[in-house]
Amino acid sequence: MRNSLLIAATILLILIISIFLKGNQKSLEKLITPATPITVEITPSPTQSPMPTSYNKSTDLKKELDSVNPEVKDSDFENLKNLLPLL
Amino acid sequence: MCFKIILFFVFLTLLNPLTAFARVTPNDIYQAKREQFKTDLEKIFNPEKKQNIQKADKMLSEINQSVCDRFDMDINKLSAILEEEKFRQQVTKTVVAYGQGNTPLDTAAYYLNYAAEANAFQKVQDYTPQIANGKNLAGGVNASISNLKSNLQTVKGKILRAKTEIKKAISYYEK
Repeated sequence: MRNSLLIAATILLILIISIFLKGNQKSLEKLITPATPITVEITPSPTQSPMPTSYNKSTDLKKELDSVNPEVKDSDFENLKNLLPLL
Repeated sequence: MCFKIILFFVFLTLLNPLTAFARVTPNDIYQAKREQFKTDLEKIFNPEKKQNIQKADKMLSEINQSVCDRFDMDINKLSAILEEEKFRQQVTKTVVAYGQGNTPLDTAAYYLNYAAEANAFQKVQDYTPQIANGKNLAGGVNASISNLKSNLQTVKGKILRAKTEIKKAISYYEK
C-alpha cells in the first residue's frame, strides 16, 4: 500500500515537473525574443551614405525634416510585374 | 526496490518529449522554405518558366534590399536632424527605453530607434514564392509581391511616425 502510494506520488511529481518545464520553455522563448525594442545605438552602416554634416545653428531643421519622404514606389515593382505574364 | 522504481521514472522524465528543448528558429523556417522552393522548381519542365521564376525570386529579394536601403537614408537623415536638435538644446543623453523618458526628444528618439529596428528586421525577411509543385507560379509571385509591399508600407509608416515625433520635438523647443 505504502509503495503504491509512493509510486503514484512520484508519477504525479514527474508530470507536474514536465508541465512546469514546458511552460518555462515558452517563458524562456518569450524572454529571448522580446516584442518591444529596449535600447539601441543608431549608427549608420559603412555602406550607407554618411550622415549629412552641413547642419549648423542656422539650418532650418523643419525644412530638412520635410525633405524626408519615405516611399514605396510602383516603379520598384515594375520589372517584376512585367515578368508575371511570362510565368 | 522503491528507490529503483523512482529512479526509473525520473529517467523516463528525461526522455519525455514534453521537456524537449529543441526550438524551431527563423533560420529553420527559412531553410525549409528554400528547400521546398528547390523541390517545386524541379517539377517545372518548361525551362523558360523555370528561369523566369528563379529571376522573380531573386528580384523580390533585390527590391526588398533596395527599398530598405532607401529607408536607411531617410532614417540617417532623421537621426542627424535629431542629433542637431539635441546639440542645440544641449542634451547629452537620451533615454530610449519607452516609458522612462519624459521629454519630446526622448519620445522622438524612441520612435526613431523603433523605425531603425523595423527596417533592419525588414532587410532580412524572406519572400520566397510558394509555387505549389510548380503549378501556381504567377499566384505564388503575386502573393509574395503583396506581402512585400504590405511589409514595406508598415516600415514606411514607422519612419513617418518617427518624423512626426521629431517635428513635435523641434516645434516644442524652437517656438
